[in-house]
Amino acid sequence: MPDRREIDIEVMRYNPETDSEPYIQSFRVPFDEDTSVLMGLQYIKDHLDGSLTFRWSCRMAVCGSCGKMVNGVPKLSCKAFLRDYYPGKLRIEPLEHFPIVRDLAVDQTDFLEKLEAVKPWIIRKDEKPLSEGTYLQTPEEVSSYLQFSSCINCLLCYSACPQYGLDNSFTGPAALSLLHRYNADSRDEGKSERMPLVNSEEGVWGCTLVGYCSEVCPKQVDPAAAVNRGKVNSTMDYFLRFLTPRGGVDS
Amino acid sequence: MSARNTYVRPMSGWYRRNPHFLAYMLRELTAVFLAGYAGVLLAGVIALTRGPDAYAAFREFLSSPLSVGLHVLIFIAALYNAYTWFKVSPKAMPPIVLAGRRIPDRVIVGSQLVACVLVFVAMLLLAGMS
Repeated sequence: MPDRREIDIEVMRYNPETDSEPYIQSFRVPFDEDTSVLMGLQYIKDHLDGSLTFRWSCRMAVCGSCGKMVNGVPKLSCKAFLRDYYPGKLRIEPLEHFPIVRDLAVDQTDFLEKLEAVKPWIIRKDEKPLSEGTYLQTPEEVSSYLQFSSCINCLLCYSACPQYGLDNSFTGPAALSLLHRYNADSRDEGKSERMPLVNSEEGVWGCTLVGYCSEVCPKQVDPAAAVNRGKVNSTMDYFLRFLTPRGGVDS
Repeated sequence: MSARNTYVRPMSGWYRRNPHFLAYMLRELTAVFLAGYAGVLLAGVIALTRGPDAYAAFREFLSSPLSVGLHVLIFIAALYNAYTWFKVSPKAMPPIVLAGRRIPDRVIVGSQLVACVLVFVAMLLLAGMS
């Protein structure tokens, strides 16, 4: 039987060329059991107002492009469904704590700079030649970082982090999770290059363990765990520097 | 890239926007009560150094209705504070692997709560015996 329900979607609009601040515009959108919030936005763009601007790509919670605030909660709009909000209505806003470029699109530059700063790649003191084969790991060694490698950079955790919203010098959940992912990787030898950032005020100590980042993460990365294990590492780093010449890193 | 005319939303009242943030602020607020209790203990130590009369006066204050009321309030705050930190403790420790399986977070939190209750009961029993 065809499902002919309709739901009100309020969308935050902002045109940088004409608006001094954002405003809310309401649309009535038909939906069925399978209609995601992203498909609702696409319906608006295709049928009601072609000027609506938002990011998306894969439609299947892999690419991390379509994050929005849905009724105040950071969500991947492809992974949230209109049926779950019916008979109420939705308010869709751009991800919190980021500057709005236009409508639902935010400026991600700050995060991309932070991501680069944590050196999210395997650093070796001496690269092994290809002829010697791959770097081997035991399943235990893999499990120590695997969950943190699931991050898709969707920025939901930044929108869930009031510390980042209040002071965006804080490196933030996703970048610190990826930093921890490489520090915890047995193949990596770059910990000493990353610890100054971990130890700084902008590093793990900017976190007060609000913990909401881990709740909104669509990939169960648990960024709060990564950041707070970073605090343990930072504390060890501080005390071990008195005991060992290399400050305890890379041990 | 040309300068963008972006809009930055204000943060005022952020803790009212989400129940999770309210719970967080409540957790932080309960720490003030814990600091207050440290002040009570410190006052007791200071009274002790000033001789038996001062200490007796301190003990008399402790049994006053105002003090009992404050202690009940601080006790509730301390319980909530402890519970919230037990709840997030798995995030602050490296994963514990036992016989090849990672111990789930709820087991870590649960065992701390059980340990806490056992210590509390033991202390009550000890206090009853003395």
